[in-house]
Amino acid sequence: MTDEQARDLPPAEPVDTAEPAEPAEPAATWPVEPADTADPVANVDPVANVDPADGVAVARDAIDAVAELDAIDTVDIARGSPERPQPYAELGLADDEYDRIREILGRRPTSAELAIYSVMWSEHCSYKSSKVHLRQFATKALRSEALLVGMGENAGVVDIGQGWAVTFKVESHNHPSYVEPYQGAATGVGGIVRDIIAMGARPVAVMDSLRFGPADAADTRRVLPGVVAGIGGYGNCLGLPNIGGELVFDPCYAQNPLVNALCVGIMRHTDIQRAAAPGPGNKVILYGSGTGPDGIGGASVLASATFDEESARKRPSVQVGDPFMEKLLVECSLELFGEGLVVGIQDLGAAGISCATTELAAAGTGGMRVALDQVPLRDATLGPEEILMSESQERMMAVVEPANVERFLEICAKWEVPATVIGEVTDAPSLEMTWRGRVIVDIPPGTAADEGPVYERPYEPPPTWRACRPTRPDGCPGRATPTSCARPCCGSPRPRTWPTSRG
Amino acid sequence: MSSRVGVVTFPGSLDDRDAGRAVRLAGAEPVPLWHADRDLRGVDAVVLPGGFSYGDYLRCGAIARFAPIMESLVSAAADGLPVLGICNGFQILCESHLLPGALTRNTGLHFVCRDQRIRIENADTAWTREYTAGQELVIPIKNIDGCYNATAETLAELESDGRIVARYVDVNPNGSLRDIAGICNEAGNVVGLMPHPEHAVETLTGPTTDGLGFFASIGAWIAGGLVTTS
Repeated sequence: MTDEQARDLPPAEPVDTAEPAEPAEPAATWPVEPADTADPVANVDPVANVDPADGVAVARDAIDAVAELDAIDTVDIARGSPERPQPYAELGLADDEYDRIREILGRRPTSAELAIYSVMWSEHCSYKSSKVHLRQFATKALRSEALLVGMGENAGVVDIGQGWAVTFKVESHNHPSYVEPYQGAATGVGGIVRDIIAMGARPVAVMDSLRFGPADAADTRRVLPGVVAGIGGYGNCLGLPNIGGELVFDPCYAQNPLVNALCVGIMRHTDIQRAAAPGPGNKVILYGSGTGPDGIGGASVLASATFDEESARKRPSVQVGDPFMEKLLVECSLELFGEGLVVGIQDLGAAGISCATTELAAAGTGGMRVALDQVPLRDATLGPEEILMSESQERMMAVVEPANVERFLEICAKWEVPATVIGEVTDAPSLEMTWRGRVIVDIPPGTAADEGPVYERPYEPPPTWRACRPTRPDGCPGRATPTSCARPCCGSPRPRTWPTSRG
Repeated sequence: MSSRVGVVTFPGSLDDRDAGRAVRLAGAEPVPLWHADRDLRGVDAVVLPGGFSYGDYLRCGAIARFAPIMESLVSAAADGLPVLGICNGFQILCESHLLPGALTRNTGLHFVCRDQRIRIENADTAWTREYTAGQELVIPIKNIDGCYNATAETLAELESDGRIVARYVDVNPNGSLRDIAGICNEAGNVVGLMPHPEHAVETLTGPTTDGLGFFASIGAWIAGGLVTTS
């Protein structure tokens, strides 16, 4: 063990008597005394049947295994160590938000719980600053019987007559697309396609709305080709034509492009699926790609003893898409829905498993119990906090009645989509997660999913706003009107058609 | 009795439903075939549709060539079973060596999607009997790996044997040598085509209904007793 790793270990603290005694110093625990048969290290005998030359390495592995178990921040440990400092500020939580979590739980959160709240209460997931404004859509919009599903679900559903409905959703993926244009834009499409699947519809088309800095700026030239190719390429692999879009160049978008993608799907009224986990005893199934270290930069401050700085540097902050797996998810999910095997469904996007479990449980009839060890991993070194925060793409979570689990897994096997039962719905009002047999999460799911902070930030129009405000729809040069948006491209030496001729 | 035309679905197939629909609109019965089966279900002909078979992160069609269904299909095609490969299906036929040459990245390096004019050069194959030689059609094309490539010897052989089934007219969308849009094997029962006739079978959704002839041709071919059913 390096000194750096040793520093990452939690400080010795008073522990709950229900836990196996924590060593003050990991090295002092060797040779290992099996303390608990549920512990993986109980079966590790560091000195049996080994070549003396390998003995040191084996012993080091055993010490690491013990250190990993001791590093697990369980609910019991959290109860017994209220003063342990936690890196909530590094995870983006404000002091009062952290205090609120402690108030909800009646104790400090475990590191896994802190991971969940930090991502679920982030601006990205909770819309804590924009919620007060967005709510106006629910209160001010005209009532319509054509709106079959409104705010709160993965996507809206609109009746188009004769028993048919369309569902569509538009979502931005701005920053990832600026960092890594192709993958950022591609996974933006992947995310909204899964939202459409989660509603029970077949995705049929994609559109996009793009804003870049000046067309001749070097940065635009770096970002634009990848964004256009990423949107087109990912959708094309799913058979989704890009049926339209818009493109505007304006200096205000330099270094800050806007990349919005829309997916539309069609379905029968009777096909509508909901994101909820009802029915105690029902199984929770994770299906699709394995969970890897995508998009979990923030989790590094929760690093366990096995997560060293070297591997942290290798971890991508932008997710990488696998459109073939997404295509399998489309077909597999529609077949599962067709046979009536699913009682609740949620796609995994931002905040991954944290979001899917808390939202499904909060919208269900009770709680949920999840064994995080069961989550299939692409990187075996991932700790529970990283698994909870991972934004690996092409994953879905379904709630299935026990009698239908076998058939569910059969259909997944037919499409060669990995599927794993990772938990079940309970009638307790809590979301409970275990890791290596120990309880590391025990929270009321609604507090993470629905009851995040809401802020009324001060706002005012920018000084230049009034001057720019159009008096007529086409009265503002440089804004997004059909005539003006084509204009900035005209001076470009590039052919104007290529971003729009990619089907 | 109408002829039964199998449509193979690979996990990444995208145009299998459209191909099945085109078969039905042409008066034949579409029969779904699954990539992991070896059973051709006694069909009279087979369509390999467009898409990304197994993702095609490797060379397009390179993995599909080893699919269980392809083992049966390669031997049945050698016995005269009519096979039409469209786009990814054309790529799979080349990878399977049922057709010569290869489809490589478009010379423009970009994905191309347009309504394409083509000219039928050989109206004697299993899939082009409804057309006349020299007839021009407009059907959609959509690919990024559609540039037909072959050795000079192969190209000369294709030309002299009349095995170039269709050529691009007006615009060569992908840089294919000799403007080749489609070719066939020596017996004329196996045809590979880069444009998508299954997307030009109804005026509501296609630019024309010019594509129907490919699927209607198969009935005449079978009626002529030119096929040994498997």
